[in-house]
Order: sequence, then C-alpha cells, then structure tokens
Amino acid sequence: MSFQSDHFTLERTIVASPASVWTAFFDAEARSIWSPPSPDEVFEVLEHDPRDGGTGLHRCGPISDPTFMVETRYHKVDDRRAVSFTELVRKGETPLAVAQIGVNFASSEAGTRLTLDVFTTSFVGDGMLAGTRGGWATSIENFAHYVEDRT
Amino acid sequence: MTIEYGDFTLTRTIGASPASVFRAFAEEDLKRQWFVNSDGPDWATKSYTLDFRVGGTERGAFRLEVGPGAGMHENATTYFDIVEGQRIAYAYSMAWDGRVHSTSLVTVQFDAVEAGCRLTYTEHGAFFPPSDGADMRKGGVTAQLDALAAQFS
Repeated sequence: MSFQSDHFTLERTIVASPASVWTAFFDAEARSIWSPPSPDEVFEVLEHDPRDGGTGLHRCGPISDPTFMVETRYHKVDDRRAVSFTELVRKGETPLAVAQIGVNFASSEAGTRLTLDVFTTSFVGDGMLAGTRGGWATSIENFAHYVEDRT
Repeated sequence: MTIEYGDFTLTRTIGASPASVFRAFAEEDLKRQWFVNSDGPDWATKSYTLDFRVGGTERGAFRLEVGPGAGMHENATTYFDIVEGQRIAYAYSMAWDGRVHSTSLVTVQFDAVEAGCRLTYTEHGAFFPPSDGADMRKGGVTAQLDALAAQFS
C-alpha cells in the first residue's frame, strides 16, 4: 500500500496573552481536558517532556477502548513563540500514521493568533487522515474555549 | 521565530529492482556511498551511524570547512514506518553548530516499473530561521538522489 498524505492549516485567535496560551498548550492536565474531540473520548497523558529533544506518550480513543498510543517527539521549542513536533499514532505495535505539527503563537490585537500547520502521512489508508484533520480542528476549538474560560 | 514551511517531491527512475534500491537506504555501507561519501571535498564526515528499523535512528555529523555555511552540520533521523522493498517514512532534524534549524517528515516510495524502480521522495519541512529553507534543501536532496542513481548506472 502507498502512503497517503494530507496537509492543512488551522488558525484561531484566542482572547488571552501568548504567555497564557503557551502555558495552557503545554500543561499536561489541560491537554487531557481540551484534546479529546468528543465527550466519548479520552486523552491520557502518560509521559510529557516538552523541550528540544523531549518526548511524550499519550493514550487516546473511545473511553471504552482507548487503544491508540501517540508518541510525541519535540524537535524545536521556542519559548512562547513556536513549537515543532512529530506525533506517531500506533495501535499495538502497528504504526498507523505520523504527523509533523508546527504551531506559531503570535501576539495580536485581540490576544494571540494561533497557527497550526499539520502534515500527516497515513500508513493504513485515508481514514487516519480524516481523523487527524477532524480531531485537530475540534481540539483547537476546545483549546480556545478552555483558555478563554480561564482568562 | 516564525516557522516557515516548504514541500517538495522528487522522482527518479533507476535501472534496478525496487528491492535493490531499497537496500541502498537500508544498509549502512550502501547508504554511505550516496548519502555521505558523495559530499564535496570541503565536507569532512565526523561520524555516521545507521540503525535501520522502525524506531531506529540515523545520526551524522559533517563539517563544512569553507563558505557561508561553514561549521558543524548534524542530522538526526527517526524511522517510523518501513515496508521492505516498498516504502520508508521518517523524520529528521538538521542542526548547524548545535542549533536545530529544521525538521522534516519524509516518505520514500519504491515502485516497480518496466525500467526498474520508480523512486518517489516527498519531504515536508519546517524551517526555523535562519535556515537553508525548502529551495536549498531540495537542491541538496536532488544531489543526493543523483548520487544514488549514479550508484546503479
């Protein structure tokens, strides 16, 4: 089977300072709240080390069967301004997809302009591409509300 | 710092089987020939290792002695997906004098064609200025794939 890839950009203005947005984005407890795209899903942070060369490990999926493991590798963390990382999704020992994600945190008149660039390659067909695109779109909306509700 | 992005795809038709071309990515001695040893005379290879397996890594350190890019350049690769003789997916970062200035997600596909192997290389790069950028990176990979093709000619 050939690779299948998808590339998309999400932009969202958040009414909070870049410092607040940055802190919330990297807070493990916060991410477990804003990351699940629906109330029926869970995102459990098992390891979390967001620094240059650091790694993370998350378990996610339906609450009844959260079998997806997400291995994060942080390549570049530029304090309060930008981060670049990869996320490998696997089920058991089978790799399903990998995404390279870049996030810019820019100061704007309203607060923070968040720009998320996601390039995904699926190893198992286009279902993972749609899931990644839809998941991030919902998660970033959740994230914006999470931050604004606490500002 | 604002991250800049760039994509490119390169293809080569090589007169060898997909399995043979795949081996040139998988076996350290074969990969050295086109990935390391094809560098120009101003480049000095300080170290190079390849652990070609899912979860494995490739590490290289190369010193450019002259020119505006003079200094130590290091690549760090992690392999995510390998299907023998068919495809490879990996991410790599590049550092210049210890500063990571880019990360890329790469896929390499090996397809059988009448003339041998159709290789398709796709890279999505994130560049952290100052960096070489997508155009220069494409030039560098083009030279590497030319060296790879020459290895089979």
